[in-house]
Amino acid sequence: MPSPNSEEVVPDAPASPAAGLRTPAASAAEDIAAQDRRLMAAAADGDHAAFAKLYDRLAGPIFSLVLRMVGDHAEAEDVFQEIFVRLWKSAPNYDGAQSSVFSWVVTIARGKAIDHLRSRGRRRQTFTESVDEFPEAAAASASAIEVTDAALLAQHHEEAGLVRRVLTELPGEQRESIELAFFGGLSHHEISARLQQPLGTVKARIRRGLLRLRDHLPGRGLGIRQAERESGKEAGSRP
Amino acid sequence: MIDEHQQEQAALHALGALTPAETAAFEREAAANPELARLADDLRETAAALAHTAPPVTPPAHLRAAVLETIGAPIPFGVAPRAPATNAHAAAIWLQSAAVAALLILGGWLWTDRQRLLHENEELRAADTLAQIQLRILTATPDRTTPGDAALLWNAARQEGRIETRRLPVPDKGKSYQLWVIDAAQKDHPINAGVVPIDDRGAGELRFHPARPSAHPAAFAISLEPSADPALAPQGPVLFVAQ
Repeated sequence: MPSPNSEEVVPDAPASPAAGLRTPAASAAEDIAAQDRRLMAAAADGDHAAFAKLYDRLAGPIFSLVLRMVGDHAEAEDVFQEIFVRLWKSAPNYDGAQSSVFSWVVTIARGKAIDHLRSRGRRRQTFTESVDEFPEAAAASASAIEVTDAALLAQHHEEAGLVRRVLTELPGEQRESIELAFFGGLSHHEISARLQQPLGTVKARIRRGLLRLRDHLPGRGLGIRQAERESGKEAGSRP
Repeated sequence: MIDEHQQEQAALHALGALTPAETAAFEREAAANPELARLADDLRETAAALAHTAPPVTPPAHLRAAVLETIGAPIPFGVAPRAPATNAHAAAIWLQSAAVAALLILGGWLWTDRQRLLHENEELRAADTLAQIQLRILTATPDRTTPGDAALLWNAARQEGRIETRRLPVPDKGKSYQLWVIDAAQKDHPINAGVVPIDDRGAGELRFHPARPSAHPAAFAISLEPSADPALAPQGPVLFVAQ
């Protein structure tokens, strides 16, 4: 296992065994993704109940993401509402052949959150600094535990645990650059300035880190995408 | 064949870290290069999974009603009609059910544990109606992403609390987890609340009284400190925080 603090001495990861095999976890993730696509297709046809169900499946991780990005509970609520209203309106534009519902929604959510941060002219360093800088997520989580569904909680817990484990195994510099981009909404130029590292170094860290993540997260990337292509695109795919 | 530069652009694109001009240029290139487009798709899926690492927070219930009202949905909503199972879907449904069952076991355990804490919270409230008991879930600091769970109950009136941990990494020899209370009025001087003992499975429990009173605890934190030299102030890395 690479040292979390080692610099760019880690070679690019070889293709992971997970890339070509269907593990039970990958199959479960695939089923979940297929259900999401069916619900999105129904929502695109104006099915409010399907959209409500989709909301219930996605609201937790999306709200958590937005709160982490904007760092303020009240502002996160506003952004979150905008996201889901936008989802309803944009549902007919979803293309199941191009992305999973989850990644499509995450892309929309991040875009909205970044727009919000830019409109306020501030980009909070909510994820790398001290206790004072830590977002309100931890405090808010106390109220969250009363309404969580056991199955969904387990699903998200499992997912989060897996991604965290893989993320933790990345060299610290790679992880930091990726998190600054993903949660901070920073461009590679801004990350370079923030970390006072050459642009080329930042790009290389992000490339290596993300490729390594892809190779070690079963059920994503090649796994699901290839399966979808091979199965001729399930419901939810748009021409 | 995709070169390193294209991989970099695909990774930056997946994270939204390209400038608008760079994004447009990359998307033009990917549109003409199926292999690059496939890599971009894969990395976007990978990047999206990072959302799961955000500290879990359930949105307030009123947001659901607000969203559904805005889109013109009738309220309340029921569950979407269940489509009849077909033979073609039977195997998939069985596999899905098995997966859900496994997840339910894990979820049920977490749920039970949290319910127990809530129940204990209720008992403590009942025992002392004047107490201001708070439940705090400690979350791994994002730059450390330490695995494990920690939750504490804090009784402001009694100036005492109880913390429980689960599945924390066993500290290296000579190191231990130390709990701190950060008072709103003295954030620069965290108050030592004791060492959290951890067994070999990472489970621990500590009933604590901070070394000094804290009228308004702004946060609780766990740091990793030398065991032999109990710190008067955090010197090691802060691993978990609850605000």
